[in-house]
Amino acid sequence: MTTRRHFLSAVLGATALAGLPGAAWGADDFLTMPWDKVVEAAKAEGELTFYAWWGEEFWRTAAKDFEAKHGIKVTVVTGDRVANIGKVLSEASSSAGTIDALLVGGVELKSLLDAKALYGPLVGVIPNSDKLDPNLSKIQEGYATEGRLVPVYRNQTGLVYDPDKVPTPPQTWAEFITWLDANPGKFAFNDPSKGGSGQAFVQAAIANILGDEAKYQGDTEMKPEKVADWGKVWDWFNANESKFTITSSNNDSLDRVNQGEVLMAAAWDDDTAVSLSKGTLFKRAKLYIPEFGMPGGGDSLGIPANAPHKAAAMLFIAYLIEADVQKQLNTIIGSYLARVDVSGDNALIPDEQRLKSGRPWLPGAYKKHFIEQFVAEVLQK
Amino acid sequence: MSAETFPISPQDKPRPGLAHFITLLIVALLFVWTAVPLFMAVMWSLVNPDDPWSPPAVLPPSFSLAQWEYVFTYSEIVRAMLTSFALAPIVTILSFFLSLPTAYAIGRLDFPGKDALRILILLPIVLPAMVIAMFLSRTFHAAGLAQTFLGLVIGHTLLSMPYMLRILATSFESIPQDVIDAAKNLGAGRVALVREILVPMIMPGLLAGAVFTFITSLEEFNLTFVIGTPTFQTIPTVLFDYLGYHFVRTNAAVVSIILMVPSIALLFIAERYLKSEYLSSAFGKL
Amino acid sequence: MQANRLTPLLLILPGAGFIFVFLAAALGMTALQSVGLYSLVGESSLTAEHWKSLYDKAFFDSFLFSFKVGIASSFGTLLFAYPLALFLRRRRFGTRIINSVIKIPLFVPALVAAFLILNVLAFNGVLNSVLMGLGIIDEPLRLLNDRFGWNVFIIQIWKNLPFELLIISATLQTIQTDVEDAARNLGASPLQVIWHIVLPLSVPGILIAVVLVFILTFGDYAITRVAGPVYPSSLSVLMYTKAFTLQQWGAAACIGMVITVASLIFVAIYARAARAIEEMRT
Repeated sequence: MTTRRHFLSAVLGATALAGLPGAAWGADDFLTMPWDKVVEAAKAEGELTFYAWWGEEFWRTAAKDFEAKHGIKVTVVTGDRVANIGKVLSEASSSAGTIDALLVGGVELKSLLDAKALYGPLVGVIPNSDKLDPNLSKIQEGYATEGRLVPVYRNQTGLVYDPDKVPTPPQTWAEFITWLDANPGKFAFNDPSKGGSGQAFVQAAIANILGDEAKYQGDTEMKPEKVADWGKVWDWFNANESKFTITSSNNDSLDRVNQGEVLMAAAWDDDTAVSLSKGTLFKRAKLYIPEFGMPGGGDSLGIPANAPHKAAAMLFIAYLIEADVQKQLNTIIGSYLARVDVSGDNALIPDEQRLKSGRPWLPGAYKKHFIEQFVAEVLQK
Repeated sequence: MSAETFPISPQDKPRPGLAHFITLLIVALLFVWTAVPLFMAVMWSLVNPDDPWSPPAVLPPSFSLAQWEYVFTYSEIVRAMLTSFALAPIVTILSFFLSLPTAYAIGRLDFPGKDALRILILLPIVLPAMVIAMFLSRTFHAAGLAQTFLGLVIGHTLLSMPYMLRILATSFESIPQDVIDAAKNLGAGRVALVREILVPMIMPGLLAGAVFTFITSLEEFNLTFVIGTPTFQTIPTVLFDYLGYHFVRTNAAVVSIILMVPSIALLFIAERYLKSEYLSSAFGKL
Repeated sequence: MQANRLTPLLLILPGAGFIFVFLAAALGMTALQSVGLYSLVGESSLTAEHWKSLYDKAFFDSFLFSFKVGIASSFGTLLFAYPLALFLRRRRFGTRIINSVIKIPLFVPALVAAFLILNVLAFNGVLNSVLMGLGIIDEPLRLLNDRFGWNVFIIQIWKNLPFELLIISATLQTIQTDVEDAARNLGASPLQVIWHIVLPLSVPGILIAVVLVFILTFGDYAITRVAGPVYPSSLSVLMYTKAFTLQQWGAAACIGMVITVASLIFVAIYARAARAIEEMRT
């Protein structure tokens, strides 16, 4: 076991660490050498440890197939999303970490970028990484990733509903409000501090009540004048509080739909697809993006700067963005591919609907702000 | 139910019919109270992925083992079981060796500060586990013990040893001094005294203490969650994940059964040693 | 037994020493960090800032919630446990089976108990199905993550009933029956005997049971996190969020101190009650 002193200094003072000389940087050779040499080095390393926070079925299937193909053993660990990031940061000060590759997403990824805790740039080096979603390859959660994060899937939020009880689901914001008034308590979204689909609904409310969603895009810091009128949104939530069912996680919302407690809920496409295939959501359930728009994005793969098996990690990432594996991912988790040159048939939401009504997430700084504000201004009231 | 229907002294003879009826009613209610929740968990673990369980179905429309297969194929459970079942015996053995001399001193010797000591060894099980876990983790981070197996062993021992210690102390206490005196008068040496008197007399307490310590370690959540995850998972941390962020009833049902069965089985096997005396010395008195 | 004065000290060292060292490390760290010392990162200097930061709505709501659930769970359990203990006091037909069935939840891990009860209380769960079937309610009750915390309360009762029952039964066994018999012979009714003799004598046992359940519920993290309301959270959940989500370890340490001190006060009550039982025995 490597020493993991100064865990907290690493977590908290992540920014400060960035300035330290030689903070486990180096070994750039895999980034410049020919790909077949990387493959050779990967096979010599022979193993890698991969951290994710969900999608266990896909990662473990892929790990098994990858081992069969390349003879490299992959240990998949599923931990808490934020705890995984914390572990990378806590190990950042030691020369050898214990994580070789990890799934990264959410506003917390900023701390990894700030600490320069990621190896790269990988985009452009790893085969086929030029065929990935161009926006997501550069910017995630509003932060420039400098090619250190390789998109692996794109996902989308929407509304899941019971078509027997909701024959014509609302499309515009006005229709949604009419529906909500007619069906009080029958719409669920989760506490935005506990999952992305709740955040998506809050963002949709901000966009539809205040308009001009585009003004936030491109900011890496929150501009106070742009959030000055958010009080109106919290007033709306408070006025309609009894009409909502606020749940404790993305999956909890889906469970309430399955139990018949609510008729409609904000949900992720991938969570919905997994619930449908696991039998924890009835088969007739449908997911759609209303015309009033809901956000979508994607998650990425990264390699810690001090990963002990960097070549193997690069080869694993390359494997995960191969066309066939991307299609397999699409089949198992139901979200759509990170690659733009191939498309899967199993996405829950048709492409045209996503292009029409899908929206980008507000930049991380704003997202963080509305999560905090929702807790303080709505939940605590 | 109201209190006056309960006969309270042996002389009190109510009509047997009524007493039987009340007893049967209580047995039936308790059975529902205890068995129904267990039964529901089993049902959820058998949901057929192709035939979901949703209203109006009161029970799953069809059964399958697919959820079990899923958990064992794709979840963290195998790794977690290995960690859990490695930790619990190590913690139990370590607790035994640390407890034995201390329990002997508390049970058989007189010394100043004994009452304070009894309270001290109670604290790890009555103080809030999350506070201990979080701030022990701060110390452990400074000492390089966070995210290590050794750190988990120390933390689990801290939280589970009090059971061993208290039950062993009670066992030592309950050996009548005249038995020991008589053995000495009959010329028993030190070795014979230990082997013929002490060991057999504390054995039931030792087993009870070991069962409690083992199970406490197996069920420990807070400390493992803060100090061990994500590097180490145990069965309770996997369950927490399926109840929290990844709330999936079917997976949670499978993991619940995996966690619950060893505890219940162990305690029923050990029940003949688990006199209420041990249970109450584990919790009830100082 | 003859013993050198040093012998007890050497003997208690392994067990009690281990507990003392690591408990002191944990609680000492809590106390120091609550006043800004040893913060491990950033500046460490004596400050009351963290304590002042507790003066907000979230903290008071959490404190009230934890306290309420603690009191409701410990006394709620008592409402079932005490009559049952009286009933089971005398061996008779059925007591053996009652005793073993009722003990099962004691051996069910807390998180599992939470899950078991969640299934029963769910919208399409057994409770709602039965109540609807009997025509008692028209609409299923919505008990999950409710603002009051019914969910947590019922889980705690389920889990702690055998625990309180065991402790109270043990106390009832220590009550001498001759006092009751005398009262009976003087013409006291069963209810009077319970009210005037059995109940007062079992107060220490009741206190122990109630106090232990209160402490465990008051400091609970996992059950409230899984089954509690979206807001407010329990004190332990708030402490965890402050530390790990908001990186406010100082404020978290203050909450830790509050939970610990409150628990210690109750441990003192417990210690007194336990001594009273010990005196009753002799």
